[in-house]
Amino acid sequence: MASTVTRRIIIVALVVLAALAPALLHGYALYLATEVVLYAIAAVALDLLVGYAGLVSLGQAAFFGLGAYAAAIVSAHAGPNIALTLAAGFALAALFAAITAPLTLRSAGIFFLMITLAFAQLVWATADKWHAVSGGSDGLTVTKLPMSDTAFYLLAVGLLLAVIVVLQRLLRSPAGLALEAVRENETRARASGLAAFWYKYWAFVLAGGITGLAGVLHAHHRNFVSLADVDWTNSVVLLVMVLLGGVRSLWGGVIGATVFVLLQAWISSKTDKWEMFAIGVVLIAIVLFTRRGLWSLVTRNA
Amino acid sequence: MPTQLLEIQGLNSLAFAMLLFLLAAGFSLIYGVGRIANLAHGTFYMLGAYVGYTVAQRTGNFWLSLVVAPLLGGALGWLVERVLLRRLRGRELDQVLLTVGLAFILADVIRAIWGADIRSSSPPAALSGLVSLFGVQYPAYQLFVICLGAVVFVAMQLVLRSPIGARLRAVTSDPQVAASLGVPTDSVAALTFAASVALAAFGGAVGGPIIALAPGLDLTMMLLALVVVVVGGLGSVAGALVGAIIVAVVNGFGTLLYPEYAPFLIFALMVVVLGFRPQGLLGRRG
Repeated sequence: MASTVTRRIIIVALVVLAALAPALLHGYALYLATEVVLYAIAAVALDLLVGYAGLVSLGQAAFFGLGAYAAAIVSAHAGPNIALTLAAGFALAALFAAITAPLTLRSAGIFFLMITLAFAQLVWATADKWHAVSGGSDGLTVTKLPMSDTAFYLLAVGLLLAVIVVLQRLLRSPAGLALEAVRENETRARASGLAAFWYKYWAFVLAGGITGLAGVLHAHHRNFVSLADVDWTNSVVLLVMVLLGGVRSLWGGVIGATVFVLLQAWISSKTDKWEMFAIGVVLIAIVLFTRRGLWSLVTRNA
Repeated sequence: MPTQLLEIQGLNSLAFAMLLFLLAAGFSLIYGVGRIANLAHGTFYMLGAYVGYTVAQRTGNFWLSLVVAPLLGGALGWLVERVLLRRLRGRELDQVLLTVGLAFILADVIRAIWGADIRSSSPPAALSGLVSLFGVQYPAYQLFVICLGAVVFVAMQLVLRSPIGARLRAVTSDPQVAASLGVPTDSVAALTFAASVALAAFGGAVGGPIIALAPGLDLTMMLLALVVVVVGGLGSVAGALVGAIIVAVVNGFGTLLYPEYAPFLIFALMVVVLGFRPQGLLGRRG
């Protein structure tokens, strides 16, 4: 019981803090807060896969990057319309997930991880080679949205909350319970008549689309899209966020994103050469010392 | 297309295949013994390449670099297995993530030591010329690499049939039964990891004159090794060789005939294999 109350208090405090942030934050701090929120969206989507579907993807950068490139290309042709770019980013990322899922889902465990990584590198190679569309290694400038930084931040927060609410409802629905049954014991789930493949398939497609949304926001936030967005570093970073926050808790993704973005900002204020090194150390520390992430430390009954 | 060009490209592909084989065979062995997918394998290749480059530069002796790189790689691999991976035995996912963390750390360390400039080492004087082969002039060094790959393949087959290899195969097929029969599974795991990393570093030193050195090579090589084991099938040395040759040939002739689409041909190959034979051409199911 105590832990449920603690959780509620922490969640309410987070939401209030997020809503008040623009009044308190300006410039770089607001920039960082926005970064936290948009990465949190992608981390929550990955947690749907890792925590609930049991699918550890190391290819999320593909969906993130597809969303970002969609935002840049749609903005260039149809003007900077956030509703349009979000729709395009979601659609493109979800489509890529829908096409690759039949192949990736044939494997499980670390094979799934390796195959998703390989498919993400396919997107990277396409972005690298298809200069006419993606700008290759030069990247693309994204037309600035006609809204203030504060409005953009609040929009991102709204989107994050919407994503969490929708996913929580979904996970409590019969389909969500079926997904968990498939994760816990696929053979038994199949034997009781569940179409195991399709639950995993739709979870993968939905997570891909949501990650695309995060990519769209990222493109508008930086006003720039580059190969770095599809780089496998992004896939690793998202996984680190989910592990930091603790799997099987959507809010854990939010906490993980917050901790990671702030940690990264602090590190890059000290040095610009050892960022990968630091991410590597954090990742190794997580797997060696905390088995279930920071969120589990918070909710563990004392 | 003149046949001479095809012949040269065929030989080039074969030389590249041998480098991929050195990488993929180790990757496959590590997976077989400890169920570890070592995503730092490309990093160990790159480390071997840089170490080999520096040794050859400083001493002027290329052959020394082929000794130092694998020794250093083997020592590092042994250390990583004993100090880090061993604590996570049986936790497959945590082990993969640990190797990813290691790849990130080493990438920054390598960049700090060698910088980001593109470097390439030159073949030793004795092998820097051309030889005449079936009517074409072909670089002697590439030919040397092809022979070297064949020698390593045969040597690995012999080792796997020796008493040490029997233990390795026992641990691969069933670690618990092997342990109960008195096979020292811990030493086998450490030795396999060290040997595989040494092989990757050796590949890097051998590949220096063929593939230029620059940051990012680690990921490229790791992905190629991944595609090779997906195509050839995990867990068999022969699968690694067959996979390496197929991938290198597709890559080589793809670059020659459709330079724009070469990177995609390899992935297309992987997709086809995954679709029709998820366990790989020579892999076993399960």
